[in-house]
This record gives sequence, C-alpha cells and structure tokens, in this order.
Amino acid sequence: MRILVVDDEESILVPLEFLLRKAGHEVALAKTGEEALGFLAKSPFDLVVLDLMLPGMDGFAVLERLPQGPTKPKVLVLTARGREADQAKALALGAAAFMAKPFGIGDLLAQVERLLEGK
Amino acid sequence: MSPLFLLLGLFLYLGLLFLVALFGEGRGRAWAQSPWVYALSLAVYATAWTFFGSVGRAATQGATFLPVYLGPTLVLLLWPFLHGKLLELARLHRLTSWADYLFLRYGHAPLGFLTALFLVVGLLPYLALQLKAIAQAFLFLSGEEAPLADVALPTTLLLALFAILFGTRRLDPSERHEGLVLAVAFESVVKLLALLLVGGAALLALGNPFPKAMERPEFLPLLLPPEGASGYLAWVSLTVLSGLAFLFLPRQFHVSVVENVNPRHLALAAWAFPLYLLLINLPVVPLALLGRLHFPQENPDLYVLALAQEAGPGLALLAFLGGVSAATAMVIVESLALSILVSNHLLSPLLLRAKALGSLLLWRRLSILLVMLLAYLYFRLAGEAYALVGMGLISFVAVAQLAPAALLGLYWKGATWQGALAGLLGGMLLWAYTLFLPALARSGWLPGVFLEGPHPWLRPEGLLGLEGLDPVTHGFLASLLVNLALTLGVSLYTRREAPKEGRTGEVAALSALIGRVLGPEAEEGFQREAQGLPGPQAAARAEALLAGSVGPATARLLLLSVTERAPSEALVEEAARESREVRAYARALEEARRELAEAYERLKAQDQAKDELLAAVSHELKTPLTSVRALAEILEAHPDLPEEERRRFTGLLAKEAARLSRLVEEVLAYARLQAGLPLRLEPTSLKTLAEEALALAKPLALEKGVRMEVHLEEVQTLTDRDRVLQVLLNLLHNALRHAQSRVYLELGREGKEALFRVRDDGPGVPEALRPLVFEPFQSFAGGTGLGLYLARRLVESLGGRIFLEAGEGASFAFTLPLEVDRADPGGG
Repeated sequence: MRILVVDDEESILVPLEFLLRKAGHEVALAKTGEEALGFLAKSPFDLVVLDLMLPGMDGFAVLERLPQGPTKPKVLVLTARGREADQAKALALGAAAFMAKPFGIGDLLAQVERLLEGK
Repeated sequence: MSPLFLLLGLFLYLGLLFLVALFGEGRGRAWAQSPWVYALSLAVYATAWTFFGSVGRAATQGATFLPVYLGPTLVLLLWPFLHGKLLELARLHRLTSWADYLFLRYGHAPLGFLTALFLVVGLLPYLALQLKAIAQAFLFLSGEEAPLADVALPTTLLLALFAILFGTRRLDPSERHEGLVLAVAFESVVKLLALLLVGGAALLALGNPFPKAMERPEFLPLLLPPEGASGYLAWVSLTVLSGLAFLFLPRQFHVSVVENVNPRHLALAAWAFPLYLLLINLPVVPLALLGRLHFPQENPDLYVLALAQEAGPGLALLAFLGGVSAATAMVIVESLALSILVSNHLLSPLLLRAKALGSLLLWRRLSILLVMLLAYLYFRLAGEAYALVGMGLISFVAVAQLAPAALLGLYWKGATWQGALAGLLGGMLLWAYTLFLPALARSGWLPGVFLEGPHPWLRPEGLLGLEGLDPVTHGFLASLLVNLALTLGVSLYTRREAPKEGRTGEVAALSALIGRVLGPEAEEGFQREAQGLPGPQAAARAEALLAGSVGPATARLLLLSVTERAPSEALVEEAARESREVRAYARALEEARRELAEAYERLKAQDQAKDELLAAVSHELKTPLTSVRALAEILEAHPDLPEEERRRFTGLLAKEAARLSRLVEEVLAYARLQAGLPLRLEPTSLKTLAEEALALAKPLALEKGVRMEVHLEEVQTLTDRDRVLQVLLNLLHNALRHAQSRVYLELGREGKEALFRVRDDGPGVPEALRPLVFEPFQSFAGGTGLGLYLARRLVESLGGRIFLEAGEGASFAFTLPLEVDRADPGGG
C-alpha cells in the first residue's frame, strides 16, 4: 500500500516512516502542504497521514484539494490540537479518521490497518 | 447807584433763575442733560470768592491765586481712574455724598455722622462768606453804610426757597434735579461773561496796566511766582489742597456725581471745565493791576466792582450780578448738599428712633433753611472779622480731611474703619487747632492762647517751632499728614473686618417697606425692578434705594425688620466648595467605573490570552512528546535495530527531549514574569542589560561556534529589566540557533524609543512565514515556536513593538518607549 506522510516535523516523519515501512508499506514523506499535493498529483496513494498544523498551506487546505474520484486517498488526520471543532471540520472535509497527538505507535498502526482494510 | 435799582436788579435776576430752573424741569430737560451743561455745572466751584476774591488775592499776593484752579484741572485729568469708579459705585448704591461712601466702605455709622457734622461746621463760614459777598457788593455799589444785612436776609431766604423747590421735590436725593442743574449752569455762564466783560471794559476805559506796572518795582512780585522753598511749598500744597477740595466739597460731589446723567459726559468736562477756569482767570491779573493803580486805598476784594463802576453803571450792575450768580449757585448747591448730609446722617437715625421717618422730607427742607440761617447768622456775627474773610481756604482744608479715608478706601483693601476714624478725628483736631480756633482767636472771640499755644513747640500756626509757612499751608500739611499717618498706621495695626453680613428677604416684604418709607410710586418701581431677583440681591437693591433717601445707616436699620441674615459669604463659599467636592467625587466615581470596566476588558483579554497560551504550550509540548514516545516505543520494540538507525533514533530522541526541556524552561520563565507580578518599572541602563544578556547567551554561542558582534549605545529608560532581559535572551537564543557564524546585537535610540536589533547570518525566515513568526504554534526549523511569541507579549507589555526586518538572514528588532506614559500593568 502506498502511504503519504505529511508533517513539518522531522522528528515525527522519521519514526512514522520507519514504522510504516516495517509494516510493509510504501512510504512517501512531505514537509509542506504544497509538497504533499505535488506527490498526490503525480501518483495515487492509498492513505495520507496528514498533520493539520503545517507552515503555509495547512492541513485543511490540503484536505480541500485532494484529488477526487477513484484515486481519492483515505486520510488520517494527526493534530496536536485536540479541539472538537478541528476534528469536526476535518471529518467534514473528508478525513476518514482523526488522531490526537501524542499517540502510541500501536494505536497508530491499528488505525492505519483499519483504514487500509477497506481498500 | 440807587439801592432800589440794585435791589430790583438782584430780585429780577433771582426771578430769572427760578424761570431757568422751571424751564429745566419742563421743556428744557434735554438741555439740562447735555454734557455741556454738566461741564458748566462743575463750575459751581468758582464762587464769589473767585469772582471778587481772586482779583483781591492777585492784587495783594500775586500769582498765588492760580493754584486754586490748577488743582481741579489736575484732578480732572485723573477722571478715568477716579470718577469712573466713583460714578459706578454711586449708581449702584445711590450715593449722595462722600459720607455715604465712607459708611458704605467701612460700614461704621459714627464715621458718616462725624463726617456730616464736621462738614457742616467746616463749611458754614464758607457759606457765610458768599452771603457777605452779596451784601458787601450791594453796599459798595449803593454807597450806603448800613444796615449791612438788609439785602442779605431776603436773598438768603429766596435762595433757601430755591434750593427747597428745586432740590427737595422728592425724598430720594439721588434722583436728578434738572432744574437746579440748568440754573447752576446758567449762573456759570453769567459769572464768566460778567467777569470777561468787566475785564474787557476796564481795559478799554483805563488802558493797558502792564507798562505802568513795570515802572513800579513794588508790583513786580505780583507777576512772579513766590520765591524760596516756603513759596514753592505753599504753591504746591495749595494746588493739592484745591484739587482735594474740588473732589471732596459736598457741592462738587453733588454736581459731578449725583447729578451726572451719563458717565461719558466726563470726557467733555475733562477739558471744558479747565478751559472755563482758564477763561475766568484771564481778567484777574489785569484787573488786579488796574485796581492797584487806580484805587490804592480800596479793599482789593472790591476792585472788580470799583473798576466796573468806573466803566459805567450798566457794567457795575453786571459785575454785581456776576458776583451774585457766583455766590448764589454755590449757596444753593452747597446748602442742598449739606442738608442731605444732615438729614441722612444726623437726622434720620433720630427720626427713626422717634418713629417719625415719614417727616424726613420736611426735615430736609427745614435743614436747608437751618443751614442758610446759620450761615446768615455767622455772617452777621463775624462781619469783617478774620474768621470770615480768611475762611475760604480754611474750609478747603476741612474738606480735604476726607481724602485719606475716601481715597485709601477706594484703592486700598487694607484700610479699616478704625484707621479711617482715627485719621479723620486726628485731621479734624489738627485742623481745629491749627486753623479754625486761631481764626476765631484772631477775631477776638477766643483768648490769645489759641493763637500762641501753650508752648513754643505747640504754637498752632507753627508746630514744632516751624517758621515761615503761611497758616493755611502749615495747617493743611500738618492736618493732612497726621490724618494720612493715622489712617495708614491704624489700618495696618487693625484687622480688616469680615465683609458686612449680607441680608436676604422676600420681595413682597421689601417692597412693602419701601412703600411705607418712600411712597407707593417707589414701591411699584421696586417691585418691577426686583421681580424674580434672588433674596440677597433684592435686599441689596432695596437697601440702596432706601440709603439714597434716608441715609445708609438708617436704611440698614430699616432693612433689619424685613430681612434675615443671608448665609455669609463664608457659608456660601463653603457650600460652593462642597458642591465642587461632590462634583469632583462624582467625576472620580465615573473615572473609577471606567477604570473598572477597562480592567474587566483587560482581564477578559488576558483570560483569552491565557487560553491561547495554554493551547500554544500544550501544542508545542505534544509534537515533541509524540516523537519521543514513538521513538522510545520503536527502540523498545526493536532491540535488533541496525546500529546506524538506532543512533539516528536516539539522536532524534535526545534532540526532542532537549526541545521539551527548553520549552518548559521558557514557559516557566514566562510564567515567573507573568505570575501576577506587576510591571516593575525602574530606571534601567539598557546597555548594561544587553551586556548581561550577552553573558548569559555566551555558552550557547561558544557551543555553536558563533561569533557575537555588538554595538551598544548608552540608553537609559524606565522599564522592567527582567522582562527586557527575557526578551533579549529569547531573541539571542533564536538567532544563535539559526546563525551560521555570526550574531549581531545592536542598541540605539530612534526618536522617542530605544531600539534593539538582533541579526543572524542564517537562512532567514521564509517569505510565507514572515507574518506569522510572532504567532504561537509557528515553530520551524526546530524552534520551540513559543520563544518569539513570548517575546512579543513581553515587549507589548512594556509598551514597545517587536518586528521582523527585511534583509538577509533574520533580523529581529524591538523597541521600548523612553518615556513610559501609562504601561499596561498586567502585561500581556
């Protein structure tokens, strides 16, 4: 499965990349929203792990600009802001699931697997 | 000349005077109110003593007659400062005399009483002198020897009738008497024309006297001013004396103040009256010289008549009528003024006690008659004695005694009633001792000791052994100096009394009182005037109205019955002060309310800011925590990781842990600064502070191998040093983290602000992030995301601004006000 991880923090990207690779997925990393949209435009992904707080174009903007149609990836939103409003907005914009930082790796992997099962 | 002819002329003239006065009360009222008539009426100053006496004085003593006219001229020059003020006061309080003014100013009834009494005594001889002038002129022209008094008595009675008819029509003497004024002005014209005509005719008939006078060496002193110090002193003191007399003679006060219709008339009078005096004095010296040349044996006071007779019978009659006009004008106005003094200050308090105030007008008429008859009596008794002849200037000196109390009262707040009374008494005593009693003694009515004095140093006409001054100059200087010294000295040593207690009353009660005393007409007038006035003002108006008619002391007593004590000025002031305080208190309350509202808004904003801060801190904590937790779990779950990967993870782990601890430190530092601590402003050297921050940042700089460059100016300001230090540390740490090799710190002044600049040679802030660097959550490149945000809030709490400058690398700058007006005490 192809997974795109979008976060501006290297310290998040590194462990996520390691874990998802270990779980047998193909992983791409993006540090900004623009970079992420660039990846998505080039090739389809099954899942996007998306941090909401990004410099410049933020996670919500990325959600709005996701490719539609059959290639539309599922989105797992990560955020340090545990606000209800953010969660509702992300889900309304088409996110499939929502995880608040800090999370355990077990929870994250279980959530990823659950989202990819449907594919 | 036939005595019958003269008598006819005299009575015809008096009849004409009645007609003129009637005309003034009727159709000629507008004339009577013109400024020219006002100026001419002032010439009541020139009496028979001017008409006959000036020539007599010039013939015996030379130019010393002139100061008598110089004084009034000089006083009139002062009219804008003196008369203007006086007229305003007179209008407001219905003053009828200087005695009224003294009572008004000092509030002491005996002062008015004493003044009135003294003026009557002092002026009776002066009145008698006028009667004598008429009688003497009559006798001289008719050629008869006796009886001297025949013509004087009917004249006296006629003049009394005139004064009663045209001066006491109403009870209120402060009302104008147009008929009287017009008659007086008419008489001024008659005496001026008469003297000018007599002078001209005598010159024509007898020729120019000056060439002949030049040939007679004994005449020369007459044409020159007196010589020597005593001569100058006499000249100056006579000028001052007659100026004061012009101001304080009751008849002058009456025509210039009471009868003044319009204060602006003074402007004309100020030059027209001196011109009148100049004209009437033109013939004096020629007539005196002609008299000396042609009638060396004759009484010099009769030169005018003798010379006129030489020029023809018609002219003699004219000279006689001129003298009569000068005398009668003075007698009429002076007796009226004196009768008002007598009735307002002497009689009305007695009448009030006898509950017979209603007869006041009758009494005033009677007192005119009384004054006239007393003057006549004095003239009959004194006859040719010095006590009459020398009395003109002695009366002047008596009148001048009012000057210190009145003038100091007008212009010096410190004058007290004790001072005025002491000065007046002292002046009167000295006047009596140095002038009046010696005059009586000289007439043989008193023993010689009154001329000699009990001791050489106490000689009445040469106190302290003084020699060489004429009696009048000596008496004037002595009495006035003592008067002035006592008025000043006693005033200085007595306390000024509190302003007289005001009264307040109902308009109805006041107008009823006025109706009782002054009649229904006055009552109506007062009601119209006082309608809607507050109590104290109505009472003051009523008092002024009554004071004009019955005298100020009586008016005050009358008012007591229908008024009550008004709250004293001190109380009013107290009330005003209290209401000011209440207003100030209300303002303070409003201010406090506003401040509370502002504080509430501020607290709300702070509360929001706290929420924001909390969110920011928790967000900043969560990212590194997520990473730490994930890495730790990975390391735990994969003990067999390749060495390289393990090292990479532990490196990241350490970095995130350090970031966490830095974050905690920053938050703690911020919390310490904000922990309810008020802004602690103190004079701070920003340069020292910057050096301190540099020392604290030095370890990090060494560790990173970054060179620090500084450029610091000495800047002093009032600020909270701990907060500034924290901002500097945040900015320096931020710069050191991003710098490649150099960090630059600068401190200087810019306008009214101190400016710090922290620059590094790192990659700089990406364009997209520039607007956001001071917002929370905006960490990039491994920053905590909180340092700049906290720095911004600290700077703003100090009243400064923080901003990111354009240019290479990152250049952060912040300002601090050099003068802190009102710092936000709660910080951000």
